[in-house]
Amino acid sequence: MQEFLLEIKDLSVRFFTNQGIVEALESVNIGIGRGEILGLVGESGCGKSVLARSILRLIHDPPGKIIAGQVLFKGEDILKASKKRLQQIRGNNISMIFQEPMTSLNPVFTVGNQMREVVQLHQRLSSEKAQETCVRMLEQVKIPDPEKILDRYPHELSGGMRQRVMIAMELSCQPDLLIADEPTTALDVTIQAQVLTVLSDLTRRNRTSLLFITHDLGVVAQLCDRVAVMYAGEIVEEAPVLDIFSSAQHPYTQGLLHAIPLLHEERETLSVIPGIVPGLIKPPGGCRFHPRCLKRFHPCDRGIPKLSQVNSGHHVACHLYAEG
Amino acid sequence: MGLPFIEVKDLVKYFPLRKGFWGRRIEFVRAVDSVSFSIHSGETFGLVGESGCGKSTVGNLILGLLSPDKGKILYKGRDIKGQQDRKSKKVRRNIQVVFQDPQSSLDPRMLIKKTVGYPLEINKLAKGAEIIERVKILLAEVGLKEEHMYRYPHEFSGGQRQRISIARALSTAPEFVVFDEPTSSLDVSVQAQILNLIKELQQRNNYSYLFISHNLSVVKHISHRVAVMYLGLIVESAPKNILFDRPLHPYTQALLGSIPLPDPTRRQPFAVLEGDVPSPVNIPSGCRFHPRCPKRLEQCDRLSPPYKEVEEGHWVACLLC
Repeated sequence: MQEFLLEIKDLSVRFFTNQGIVEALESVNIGIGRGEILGLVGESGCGKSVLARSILRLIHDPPGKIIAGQVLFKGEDILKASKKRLQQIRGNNISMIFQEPMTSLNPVFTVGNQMREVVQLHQRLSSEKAQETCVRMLEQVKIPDPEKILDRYPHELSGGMRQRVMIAMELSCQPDLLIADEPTTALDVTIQAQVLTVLSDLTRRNRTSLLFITHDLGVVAQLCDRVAVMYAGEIVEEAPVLDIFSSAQHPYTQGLLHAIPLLHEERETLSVIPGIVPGLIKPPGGCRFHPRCLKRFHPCDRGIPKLSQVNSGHHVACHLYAEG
Repeated sequence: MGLPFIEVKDLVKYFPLRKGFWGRRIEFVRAVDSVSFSIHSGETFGLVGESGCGKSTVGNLILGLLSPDKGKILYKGRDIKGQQDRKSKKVRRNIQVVFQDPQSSLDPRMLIKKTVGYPLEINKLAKGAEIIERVKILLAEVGLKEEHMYRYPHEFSGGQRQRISIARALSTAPEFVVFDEPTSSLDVSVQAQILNLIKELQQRNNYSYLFISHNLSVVKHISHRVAVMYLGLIVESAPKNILFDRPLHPYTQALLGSIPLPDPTRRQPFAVLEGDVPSPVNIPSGCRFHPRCPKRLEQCDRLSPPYKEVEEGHWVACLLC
């Protein structure tokens, strides 16, 4: 059994809203090894961001509530940690980048101001040392003229620059795990290529684990070691990246892979997953994918399929592969 | 091939920008700066580029939502530039549009029946019960049901709303439809449904399309010919297989090299371009791409490259070619 840096066990999250109870996560199990890049893919509303936020307890309560499960970081349950301990874990051990850097950076302070605050707070450095660290970090993310950039305000930078500033800031405390929630979705392809290159170089070099959340299967194929596919609040398949793309087992993963237009292959018509993503206020019973599944058979609308191993390291939650 | 269906010649659109003390200094956003192309009957012409390159402005100019500063837009050989009078209404109803965000392009207080039937009403193409009949047929054509007529946009998912937008665009039986990033706000599984629908409708009715998108894989899938825009100019255009197999412009090459391929056995370092897209207010001299170009020559900052045909149907604006 592989030793995980972070292990999520049976995590369930609910949102209690006026419209009803949103079953956002339903007993999710996943682990991330040391230095591993894990891709978390799924369509909008499938709960991937909720999962990421739950790890650092960033779910707003109310309306959200983590109702069951554990988030074990080096064996310690983050969900039970004291406020003080949580503050140490955030930033020092686990840090996070969001999709829209403008909402994570404070518009009324300069970039340098915000970066120095992070390093000073977490590493207790003098202001000169902090300045040096910031310059070095910005150089690492390939920002030209780092001294000048430190005196700028966030609105003076382009989207790609801001995202690189965020990466520099989050990696400045050398966390063990970085969570990146769709960090390149708002960027153009050429800028996305720059940011992804920086991100993968830095995490590989420092052996930082990376949880990379995206809906872009191309990014997953190029960047990740292992992939988990989410659908309607559940993990439906989890496998090494080569296995997912060569021998996906879950009908949803298969459908997803066949629905993307390819650059190097002609597909006359794209194969389609019929129907739409279900709402999570009363999700379909049994396997949540069954109303859209092309391969459904009798147990699908009743029993909830468990993640079971089909190959070494390849797990699927589908009745087609259930044991016995 | 005969007369092109839509022909755009040297189209120019600048947006003034007031700066300085009391807005006395005027600068220009050069959104579209001399763009020419033609689209034939039954053809899909794809227009790709990064945000701010002017691709949507080109679409809006053809639709008559903006009037060009210079240049010609010929519809079946007839200039329709800037015509917004009653006479041109007949022409305009043959040119329809589907926008990116169906949330904001559908009126939230209109029943679907009204939304889809409205173009018929204002163009006096149908009346009363006839409108209802036509709406029924249109909804069926885009894969929606009859009972959907009596619902409001908020009761639908994103993909269904985009189907409604398509039904509305097709209501006047147009010959030409502009799609401005129609699938950018949709998930992959739904995007596939909409792309298939758009293709099917073309095969059935021989529509011509202008398909604007930033997603190269989608554009390749749907188009017959593709043009790449950078900072208000078309830098390369060709039939899709030529453009994607043998791109000549360094910008096209970089764009293709930056796409993450969904195939883990073909991992390769991205073709990383230096720097950001310059602002369309301060456009670099000479070739607009030269500050970021990995293959730039000495004279690239002085000479603007001519847009010329290097092989049949393959046009490039680069000094290297």
